[in-house]
Amino acid sequence: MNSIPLWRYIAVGIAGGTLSGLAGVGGGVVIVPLITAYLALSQREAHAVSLGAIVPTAIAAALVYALWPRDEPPGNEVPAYIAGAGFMISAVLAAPIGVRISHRINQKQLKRLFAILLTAVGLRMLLQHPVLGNAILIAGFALMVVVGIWSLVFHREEAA
Amino acid sequence: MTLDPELSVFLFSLAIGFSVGLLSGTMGVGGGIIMVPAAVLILGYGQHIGQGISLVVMIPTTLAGAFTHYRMKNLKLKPVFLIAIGAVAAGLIAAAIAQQLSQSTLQRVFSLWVLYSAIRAWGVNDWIMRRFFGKEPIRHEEELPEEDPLT
Repeated sequence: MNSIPLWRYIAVGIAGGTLSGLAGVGGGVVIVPLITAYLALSQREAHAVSLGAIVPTAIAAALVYALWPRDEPPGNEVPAYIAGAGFMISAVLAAPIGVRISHRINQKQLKRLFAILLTAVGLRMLLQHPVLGNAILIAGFALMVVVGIWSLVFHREEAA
Repeated sequence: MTLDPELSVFLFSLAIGFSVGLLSGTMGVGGGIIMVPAAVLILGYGQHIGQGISLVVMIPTTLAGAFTHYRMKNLKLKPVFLIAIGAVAAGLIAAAIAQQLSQSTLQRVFSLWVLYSAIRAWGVNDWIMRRFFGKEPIRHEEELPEEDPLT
């Protein structure tokens, strides 16, 4: 990886930040394909680097959201921090499990799972249809669960 | 038996959060793709509040995932720092510009890029290169020997 010039890493960050900032989608879907294409890291390493790079990006974006005043009705009378706390508790517990799962699936299958995710997210963004878009998303997640379990059984990482 | 609304929101988000964490950990994403629709369509929060919840939850979730990768010796720190520099700077500027533009049009334009990445990830362009140009694609997976992370 020493052969790759430093500016290329920064360029990947700029491209990922621009796309995710403009389109309002999280960094991972944009950054992971850029990393595997231009930074010569494996699929799993790209996932790890993406998670690390999302941390400061999300902090910055959350600050902007907090400081940017909006006159929008909250929609639900239950305070948002209750939903946030619920998401946070189980997501923080589940993320290490997810990482361990990704270490047990071989790289080729991991790439295939990521391809399903990209296809579902891309189609949803393209169609902009409230029912069809979410149906595609749910179908994509269901397919990922099936392929993921299949990979855990039949395409395990040899080293693990 | 009726649950009070606060408890039902908490229990629902607790259940959804588990799938958010699993997706984030396995795929290296933030998980907003689940959290924003869940908060907006099912819990009924406004779009921007949903995005705000998602961003805040993403911080500890991706940190936990990245830390686990680090412990399993799979996290390279140099790319993280360099990419983060570019992503934070560009992300802030882009988010400020995006306030003035139509979100759905932007999403439609960038969906083409996401779909192009999907085609690449499915291996279609590797197949074309091999089939029509006789070039073998570069395989980073085999260049880097895998080490048992637990030893």
